[in-house]
Amino acid sequence: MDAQALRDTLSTIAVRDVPDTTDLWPGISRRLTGAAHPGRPRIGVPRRWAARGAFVALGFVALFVAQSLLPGQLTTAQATDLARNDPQVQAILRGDIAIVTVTSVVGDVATVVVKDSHGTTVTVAVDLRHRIVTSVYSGPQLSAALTQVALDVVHADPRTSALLARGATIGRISPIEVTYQATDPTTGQPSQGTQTWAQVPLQLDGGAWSVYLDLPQARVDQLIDPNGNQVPPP
Amino acid sequence: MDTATDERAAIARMRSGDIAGLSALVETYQLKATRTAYLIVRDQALAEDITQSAFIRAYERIAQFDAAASFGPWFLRSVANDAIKAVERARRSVPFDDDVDERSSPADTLIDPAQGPSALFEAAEDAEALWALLGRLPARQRAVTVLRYFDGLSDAEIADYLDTPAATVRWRLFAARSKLRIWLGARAE
Repeated sequence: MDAQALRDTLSTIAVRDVPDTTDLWPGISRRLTGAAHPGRPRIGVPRRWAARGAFVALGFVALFVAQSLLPGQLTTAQATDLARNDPQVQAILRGDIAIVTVTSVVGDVATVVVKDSHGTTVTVAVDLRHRIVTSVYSGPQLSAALTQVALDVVHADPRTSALLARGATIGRISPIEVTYQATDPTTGQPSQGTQTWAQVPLQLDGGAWSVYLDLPQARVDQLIDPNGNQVPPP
Repeated sequence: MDTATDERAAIARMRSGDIAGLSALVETYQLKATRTAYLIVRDQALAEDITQSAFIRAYERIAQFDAAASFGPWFLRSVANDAIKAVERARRSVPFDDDVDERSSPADTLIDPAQGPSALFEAAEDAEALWALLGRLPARQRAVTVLRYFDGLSDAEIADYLDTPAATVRWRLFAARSKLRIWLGARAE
């Protein structure tokens, strides 16, 4: 069968020329967290053109020189240095710095977590383009599991999922300790306790929305629009 | 990553800006995507470059991704279209009959329509001969051939991937196979 011959040929060639050991992650990771930031147009020649001779190489050198004359974007390594040396960060940390790591790069903003030897953690947002620290946060942090619950709820609720579909971005998710009162159904006695809820900021078209999540019940408790008004459930 | 749940979790992590989510998706889709790109562009370094860029773009635009959908088709669509564009860009400086191929009837160039395709394909010395001939196809005909016979997509799925009517996909597949049949026949003579 001709179709079978095509399938066999394409499969054979693909496996032979792109082996199972192919690993793109180091390159992707470098491009996301290294000098070549993903939000920035890449300066350089694609590898397939590399052999096309001195003319292309000359152009590349010219571009490189031009690039070096312009104020550049921070690398993530420079961002970690900026974060750990920030006066606000140093005022919060009590001991030697134990960990500095870039946890994400979204657009031009790198999120850097700095932790000291006493376990104090500070989350720092660094604007790579403008080379400044834009926020320092040292409050309580939600666990990874509860962060996942929060994300699931935000993506499931029709109001917030509609905002995400319009391009809203999710900011830092913060925990909220909520005190509740209940009546024991057996004894009729009032009881009190605390629950961890979450507050999720959403940014859309320059406006800030706030989502308050009841995590134990996995639901949006309140959605507040940029004007401070509560958006009712549909 | 074995389940849709894992994929969903990876996408949720990406949405929160965690690149570890992307790492899981790279592990799942890198081979299929790079191989698809390679079969279209026929240059391994370029195929890897296209796939890497597509992953980074997916990370940056994950907010636009419909969480109810599967990541694979959304991502492979991007890779396939980038590969086609790369081939077309590379050929822009070289005269090529892509437009003519799209308009003319493959039947016009059939030497011997009665000759069975099986016999013709058997005439090919090996996979290398067919691979070489695939390289002579115009980019879009080659892409639909790869998406059909390597990725196993239907006409409707290819049409959706390439944002093209299904009839055009069928036409390109027919044209590609007709040309391959002719070229293989010429080799056998």
